This record gives sequence, structure tokens and C-alpha cells, in this order.
Amino acid sequence: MNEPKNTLSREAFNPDNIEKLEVEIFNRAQAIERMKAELEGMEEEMKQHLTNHRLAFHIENTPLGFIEWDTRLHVKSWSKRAEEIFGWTEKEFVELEKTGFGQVYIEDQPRVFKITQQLITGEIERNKIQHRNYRKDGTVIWCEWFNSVLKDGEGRVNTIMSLVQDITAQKETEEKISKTTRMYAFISQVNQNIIHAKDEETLFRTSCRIAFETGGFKMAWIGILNHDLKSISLSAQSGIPEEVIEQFLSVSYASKGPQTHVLSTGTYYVYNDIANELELTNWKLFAAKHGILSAIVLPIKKSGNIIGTFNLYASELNFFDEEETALLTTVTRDISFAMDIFENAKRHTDSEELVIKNEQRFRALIEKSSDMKTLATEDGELTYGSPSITKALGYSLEEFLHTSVFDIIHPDDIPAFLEIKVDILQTPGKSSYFQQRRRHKNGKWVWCEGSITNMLHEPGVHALVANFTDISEKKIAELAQAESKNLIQTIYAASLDALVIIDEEGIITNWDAKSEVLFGWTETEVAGMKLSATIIPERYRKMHEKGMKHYLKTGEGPILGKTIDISALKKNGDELDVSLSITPSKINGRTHFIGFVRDISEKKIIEQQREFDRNNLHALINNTNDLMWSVDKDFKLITSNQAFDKIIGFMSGGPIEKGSNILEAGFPPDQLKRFKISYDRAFAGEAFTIIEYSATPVEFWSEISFYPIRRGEEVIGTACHSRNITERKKAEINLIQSEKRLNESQAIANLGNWYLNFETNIALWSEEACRIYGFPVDENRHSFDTWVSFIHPEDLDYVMAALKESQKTFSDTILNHRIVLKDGTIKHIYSKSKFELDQNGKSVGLYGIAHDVTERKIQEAALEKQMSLEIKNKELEQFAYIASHDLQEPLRTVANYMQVFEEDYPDVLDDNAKKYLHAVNNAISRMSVLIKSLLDFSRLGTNKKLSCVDCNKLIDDVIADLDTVIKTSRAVIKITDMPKLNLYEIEIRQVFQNLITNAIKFRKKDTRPKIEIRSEKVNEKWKFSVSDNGIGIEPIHFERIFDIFQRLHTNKEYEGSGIGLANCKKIIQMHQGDIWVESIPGEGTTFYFTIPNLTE
Amino acid sequence: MLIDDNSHDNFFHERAIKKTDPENIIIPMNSGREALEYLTSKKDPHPDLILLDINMPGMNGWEFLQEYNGLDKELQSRAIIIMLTNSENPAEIERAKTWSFVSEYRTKPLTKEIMHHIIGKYFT
Repeated sequence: MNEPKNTLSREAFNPDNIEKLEVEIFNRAQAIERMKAELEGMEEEMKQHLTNHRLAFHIENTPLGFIEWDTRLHVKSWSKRAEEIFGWTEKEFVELEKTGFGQVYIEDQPRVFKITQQLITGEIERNKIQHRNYRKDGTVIWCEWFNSVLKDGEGRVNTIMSLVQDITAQKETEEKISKTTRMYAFISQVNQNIIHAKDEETLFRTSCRIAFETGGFKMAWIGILNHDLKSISLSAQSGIPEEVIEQFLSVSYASKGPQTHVLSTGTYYVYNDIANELELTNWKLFAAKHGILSAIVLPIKKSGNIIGTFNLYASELNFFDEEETALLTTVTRDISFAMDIFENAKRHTDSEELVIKNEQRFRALIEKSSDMKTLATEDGELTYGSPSITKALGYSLEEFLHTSVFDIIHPDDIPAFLEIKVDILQTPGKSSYFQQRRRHKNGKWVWCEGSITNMLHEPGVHALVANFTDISEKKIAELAQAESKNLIQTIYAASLDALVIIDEEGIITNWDAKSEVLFGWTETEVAGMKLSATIIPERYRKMHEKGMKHYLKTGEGPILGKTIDISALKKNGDELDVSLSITPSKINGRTHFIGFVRDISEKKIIEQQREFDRNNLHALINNTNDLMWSVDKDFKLITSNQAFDKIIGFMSGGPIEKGSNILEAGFPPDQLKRFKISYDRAFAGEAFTIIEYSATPVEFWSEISFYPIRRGEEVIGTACHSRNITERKKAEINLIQSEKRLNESQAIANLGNWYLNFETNIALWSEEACRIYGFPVDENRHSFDTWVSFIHPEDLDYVMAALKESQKTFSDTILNHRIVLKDGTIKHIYSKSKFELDQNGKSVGLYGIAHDVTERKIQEAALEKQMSLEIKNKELEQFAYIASHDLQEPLRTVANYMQVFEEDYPDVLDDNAKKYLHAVNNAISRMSVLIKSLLDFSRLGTNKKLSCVDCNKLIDDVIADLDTVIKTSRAVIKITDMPKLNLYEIEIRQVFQNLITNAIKFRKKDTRPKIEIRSEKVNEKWKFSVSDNGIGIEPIHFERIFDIFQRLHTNKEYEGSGIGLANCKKIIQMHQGDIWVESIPGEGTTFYFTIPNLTE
Repeated sequence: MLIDDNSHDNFFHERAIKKTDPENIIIPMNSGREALEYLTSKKDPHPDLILLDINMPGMNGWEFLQEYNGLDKELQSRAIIIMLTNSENPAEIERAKTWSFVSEYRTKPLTKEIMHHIIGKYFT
């Protein structure tokens, strides 16, 4: 066998061998190269191995799962975290030949498939993707994947490496926030809709649309209940596909269905998992077909009664949690509330109309009445007169108005009238009786009697109101009676009568001046003419001549010596009503007939008028619902109209007889008492009006006027007039209430509205708008500039630009901006405005809403901040834990080798070397303590458990643990009675242990430590204290002693890690309490901490 | 048997054990996988005491316990298992208690005193 050595022997130099030799050398060189490469490879492999180790360590300790896939997405490696995330162990996953793709949530598969293909083909090298995955137990989680590819030498992808994180919680939070935002937008829009909608139909339609578009519901519909048919008819909907809408038009509700539940209980009904909860098969199929997974049915009420249901379908499971349900209940309540407002508004309009009608009727009553009514200013200027003025006083209204009432009052009556006026001016509402002469247009004085009332204070009246009638007839009669005592001559002279004398033939013999005026014939004209040819109308002529002949023959005449009313003929052919009395008389032996003729046409007209008025008055009095009656001073009913009789009959079970006592009619006693007071007031001479309210048998408001009836100066009774003003009152109350409720609803929603008139440049703000901007609610008119002055300076440019933009097209403007109130408060406002255009498309105003969303903004910001803080805290804790854990390991290795060094080489170490080693060891153990402390600090509270703890026992246990130290230091510990309260027991125990240890540790040399532990209850919190008689602390250190690793003393003086009090502080903060220190250097220290009443 | 990826620790622990009794035979293993292979091959000597680290690359201490649990019962019953680790994390201490065949949980370093305690408790 040729040993390699031999090839280098002498004969090798044989030229034949040279070629062989060369080949051999070449081979060897190659072998060496190979070995070298192999060695390098090994070295590389070793390095790689080391790197792998490090990598593996990191992989195991990150919160991310690490997975390597081959190009068929079979697992090559699968980290522990991946196992925790998905529940599969690597082994299971590999053995069951599962692929990564198979674990992708079915809906996300197309998206994931596409991106994975791009990775496998090498089109992209890395990506980040969020999608859902199945866990081993079938649950679905959200994962975030960071994928990158590894390529082989030829650039083909052979491995996909993935880092995966379970982000389900994060996703859920995001979805929760977006859902909540959506819900709030929904409720806010519905509220705006409520403000703008004028009728139910619009309200329902828009609410459904908003639910569909903004609320994100799959379908929304409102059904109205039909009691008789036991069905619900569709009133409005959004999102229901056209082909199935027919199913909804009229739905008979099942006896066990949700509709029945809602209609009978008045509360909502929720299905959070229709497929498993719903029993109605056809609806279940419907839901399955249209992807509806949860649903809610809410009651819609009107005036407190359920009139239908609001149905919302969602395409998510468990959509309606407590919060959503509460919001939706609010929305439906708002809708119900809006309907009440519509109803009120309608009733309000109706009663308004009724009030107007009543007013008209009342006005008509005044206008038709023969009573005169005037309104005058305080100075007596007449501002109103009823038409009857013209009739009684002759003035047309034009002539009458704006003259002074004193111009027409008889000078003799003015002083008395002034007295009355002064009197009533002192008391608003007071009225007084007057009787005086007023001048007729024709210059005659007309006696008038009535009352005058001070209504200057009354809104809408502002006048002295006089109500009076012409009593001249009565006066004339009185006068006539008085004058009858005068001589007949005087009468004759003063008489208004004309004197006509005829002879036996009927020829006129005497025709006086008054006759000339009365009949238009002059004395000359009638001289020698027969009476029958002049003033006797054709139809009486025969009777006239027959009567005269009969008298001349028999001496009898039925009309002689009497006064008859008869018609006479004037020269111009008009007939004239006259009263005539004829007396036969013998003058110069011949019979003459003397006739007194008086013009009674005027009187007759007045009589007729009176008669007519009486009938009219009767009709008016009895054809009204107003009650009219009069009572004498003994409370006896004198007169009453039919309306009064009817009501009294209704109240007291039978009619009340005229003459019976009105106070014995069947009214409730308290009402009678009030009436008696009013009657007495009227009997005392006062005319006044009261408002009477009775709650039973129905709510009833009436306005009752009392007018004293006088005979001369004496009051003999009262006339009463009662008007039903219930509708008016209710309308007033309703109006006030509905305005109040609108304002309240705006206040609840923090939503104000306003209208800006471009002409005046002044905007009218609603109460809530004022409140949002910090104005008093009655300071509700503000200019555009005022509004601009509120806008936060940083938002001003944005707001102005947006407004300018919207002005170009008159489009709606939505603004999200901040405002700065006068007191510096900053608010976030969501506002929406709309231009008001006239017929020509010109903008005349701007109206809009302002929604105070500060609360929401703050919550959003707080939530965001809290979430980021929580993440940071977690990261920090994780960091501190890993850092201190990893630091511990090399430190221990150093310590170990120090020990080995000391043990193995004791002989080579001199004293100095030993001292140095000792110092190193000390430093190591100190560092170890520090790291351990840091580890403990970062881990504090990670497993905290709240429980009710007896502090007496807890402190006893701590003292037992510290037994050795206490005995060595001879410390005396005094404890007052301790409470039982909710605490994190393990942690609070550490606090007591630290404080007691400190109290002993920082004792004065040569002084026996005395420690007192106390507790007391202060403002719902427990305050604990631990005092000592130790060395004390300088006040400047009071704060920093609670910081981590802060120490006041060298290790030589007092040992410690500097973390004890930092731990205490962290633990007390965990209990939401405070910790602080009080101390006098050289005398002692007291640590205090408080703990509130904690609940889970 | 020492199962620890850190060879320095294995070295130091070996010394500590030898100090209590130089006759002790020590089988240092650098990973759980290696240790399992040793155990299943039924090589001699079979360990009486296994000191197991937790944080190891590849198969960690817990995974080792899981695999170990699946081994032949006879193989298991012959060894005392004690966790010997850097971690003082209470969560890990609790986790160790869930394994009925883990006797104790100790933090590094292994000292003469701990060894005396172990021998006194389990081997006399």
C-alpha cells in the first residue's frame, strides 16, 4: 500500500511521475481548501448556533408568537407564545398537518390568500396584516401578523417567518369606541330631527333613516299598533329590501313574540343571538337570510300609551349590550316625547282658535249691545267707542275718537266724575259707578248711567273702560212728572206740541208755527183748506169725515179726549208718526175741534229699537255658553240665563227657582265661601273680575265679573257674568309646558339652536344655546360678531374659511370647533347650520344647532390617554422585569467565579488581594439586592387581591415576623385598636413591615426605640400612623424619601436598598390613598397614610 | 442530572454537589431535549436527582416537564425533580406546584447548604 509519505520518495522524481505528482499536489491543495472551507463552515455554523440561541431566547420572551412556515404554509417552527395564542402545540399542529391558511377566519380568507400568494411568489418580501383566526377551541380572535420571507441561494422563497400578536382586546375596544360614537351620532341626529320634524310621519321616516345610515343598523322600522286586528302596521322603515317589504305592511304579532312582550310590558325586548334565541320560525328564517344576528324592539309611546314599536336589526352578534340598550331607550323616549310635543302643539292651535272664536263672539256681543262702551286714556282721550255710541249720542266714530271725554260731559257733572277718576286710578282693576249727562251731537244732554274701570295696567287694554247706557227716557219721565205740576200754560208754552184747530166742516182755522215746522205747510198755504186734504193720509180720510159727522149728530166720539198715535202726512208726502189728542170745543157757538199734535217718530224709532234690543239681548243672553245671573242683597237669585240654569241644574241635580238662595245651590262649600266673599264685595259697590278654578268634576277655569246693581245711590244686588276660559288657560299652560319641555330636552341633549336674521344681523338663541355659551337664558339676542368673539383663536381660521365656503353655494355647514367662554372655560361644539332662502333664492337668514360635545371629547381623550398609559405601564413593567431578571444572571456568574477563585487559589492571594475580592463580593451582593428590589417594585400589585382584613391581626403577624430585630433592639411597640377594612393584604403588610423596620433601623444610639401605631377615621378614610423616637428626618427630604433608590445615609451607617418607602408609596397609591411624613430631626418621625373605603 | 443551557452554572453547581460528596456522579445536560434522549435511552447511570432550569432556548423547563410526564412511569418514579432557576416570579413558583412530581422550587445558585438540605430530606 502506498503510504502518502512514499509518494515523496526519490523515485517520485521520475519524469513519468511528475504528471502524477502534479495531479497529487493539485488534489491535496484541493483537499486543504475543502477542509478550510469546512472549518469556516463549522465556525459559521457555531456562530449561527449562538445567534439562534439568542434569538430563541428573545422569541420565547416577547409577547409575540413566532412561527416559521414553509411555502405550503406548513409549520416549520412554532413558539410557546404561538401556542398560547392559538391553543395548538407545535406538535399537534405539525402532526395534524394543519396549514396556517386553514386557521384563518372564513370571511378574511380571500384577503389573506391574496397577500400570502404575493409573499410565497416573492413579489413582496414582508407585510403587516390584521385578520381573524380560529383558535384550537374554535373561538375567533383578532391577530396582527408581521410576515417576512427567507429566500434560498437562487432567490426562491423557502420560508415565511411570522410574528403574531393577539389584538382581540384592542380590536374590541376600537369597535366599542366606534360603536359608541355611532350610537351618539345616532341619538344626536334623532334629537335634531325631533327639533325640526313637524309631524309624526316625518319623524318616524327620518328616525328610521338615521338608524340605518348613521346608527349602522341593518334594518330599522316603526310599526303602529292596531288593537282590533292584533297587528302592527308599518309606518316607516329604512333598509328593508323592497321585495320583502310586503311582509311588514301588516304584521299579526304572535302571542309569545317580542312585539307582545313590548306592547304588554312597555319595556324593550332584545335578541342578542337570533339564531338561538328566537322561537318564531318564519322570522328566524328571515333573519338568517338577511344576515340579521341581533335585534331590539322598543316601545313608542304617545301621551303615556304604547302606540307602536321601534324595531332595529343588527348584523352583529351581541350588538345590544347594556349601554346600547340604554341609549336606544333614550332615543325612543325622545321620539315618544316629540310626539307628545306635536300633540300639544296641535291642541294648542285648536284652543288658540277657540279663544279667538270666543273673543270674536264676545266682541260681537259688545258691538251689538245697546250699551255703550268706551276706552279712554288716563287723560280722558277717547281711543275706542262701540257702535252704539253713534246710535245714542249721534257722533260717528271718526268724530268721536281722539276727542276728550270731558268735552261731552255736562259741566255740572265734571267735578264728581273727576273724583271718581282720581279714586279708581289709585287701584288697578277698580271700577266705580257714575251717572251723568253727556252731550248729544245735536246739542241735547243725554242722561247716561254706567261704570268706569281702571284697566290701564291690563296688557292689551291699557285704558279706562267705561260701560254705560242712555237713561234719558227715564230722566225725561221723571222731569215730565215734575213739570206736570206747572201751569198748563207753561206746559203749552213749553210744549213741543203743534196746535191745529178745524171747524165743523173740517176747514183749518188755526195753524201755528210748530205745525209749520212739523208738517212743512205754511199757515197761508193751509188757510181755508180742509184738514183731510192736507195732513190726513188717504186711508184715514173717510174715517175722519164719518167720525166728525157722527159727533155732530150724536155728540159721541170714541177718540175724543184721548191721545192716539197715528200717522200724519207731510207736505212732501212723507208720513209722520204723531200722537194726537182732539178736544171738541164751542167757539163762537160753533163746534171746533182742537188738536194737539206731537211728533213721535223719533220716540217710536227708539221704542222699536228698545224692543228689538230686548229681543236681541234675550237671544244673546240665552244663546251663549257664558253664565249670566243677578242676585239681590239677600243672595236671592233674581234673573239668570239658560246657560246658568243648565249648569246649576247639572251641579245641584235640579233647576234653581228664581227667588231661592243662591248660596244653597249644590256647589262645594269652599267654592260657595269664595262666591259669598265676591258677592259681598259687589254689594259694597265694587265691580270686579275674578278667575275661578275648580278641579272637579272636570278641570274648569272661569272668569267671573261682578257688577253692582244700584237703585239711586244704594246697591241692591249684583249682576254676574261667568265665562268658561278653561281652553284658554289650558292652552296657556300647555304652551308654557311644551316650551319648557323643548327647552328641557335641549338641555338634556346639550343641544341649542339659533336663528340669524341677515337683515338685522341679530341671532335669536334658544335657552340651551345661551347656556352653552355661558349667557343667562334671557340674554338671547346676539350679533354674529359676538358669536365670532367666542371662537377659540386656534379654530378661528378654520371656522371662517368653512363659513366663507358655504356662502358660495348656500350649502349646509358642519363645524367642529372650540369656544372660549368669558370665564375661560373651553368647550367643544358640534354645529350644523342651514341657509334660509326666500322665493328668489336669496339668503335671508341662517339657522342651526349647536351641540356641546365637550363631555364626549373629554371622555374620548381620557379613554385614549388611559389606554396609552396602560400600554406604557405594561411595557415599563415588562421592561423592568426582563431587565432586572436578565441582569441577575451575569451577576451571579461573576459571584460564582469569585467564590471559585477564592476556594481554588487561597494560597496565591495575599491579604490585599483578599480584601479586594471581599470588596468585589460586597458590591455584587449589593447589586443583587438592588436588582431584586427593582424586580419586586416592578412586580408590585400584579396579583393584588382585595379582601376584608383585620389590621390588628395583620400588625401582630408583622411584629411576630420581626421578632428577632425587635428583641435585639429592645424596641417597645404600642398599638391602638385597629379597624377591619378592605385592603390588598399582602401589599399592606409590606407597608407596615417597612415602616416598623425603618422605625427600628433609624433609632438613636443608646436610646431604646419606642414605636406607636395608631389609626383613626377622618372623612370616610382611615388614617394610620407609625411614630418613632428615632433620629428624625430633615424637612427638605420629606418628599424625596419616597422616590426609588433615594437614600439619606451611607450603607455604613444604615443598610438598605432605598426602595422600601418607594414600595410603600406605590402600595398606598394602589389603595387610592396618600402617604406623607412629619418629623423633627433628633426627636422622631411619624409616617402617615390614608386608605379610603375600597370596593371591587 | 443538571439540566441547564448555561454551562457556567452547570460548572458551578457541579462543584457545589461535589463538595457535599465527591462520590456523586453528575450528568450535566445543556438542554431538555438532550436530557430526554438520555433518559429514554435508559443509559446508566439513571439519575436520582434532576435539577431543572426553566428558561432555556428550544425546549424550556416546562416543556421538558410535559414530555417527561409522558414518559414510562417507571422511568419517572426513580428521580427527584427540583426546579433550579433564576426566576423568583411567584407566577412561576405557582406553576411549578401544578406538577405533582416536582418536589421543590429553588433559586440559583445551588449552595452546599441547599444540597445538604436536599440530601437530608430525600436521600437518607
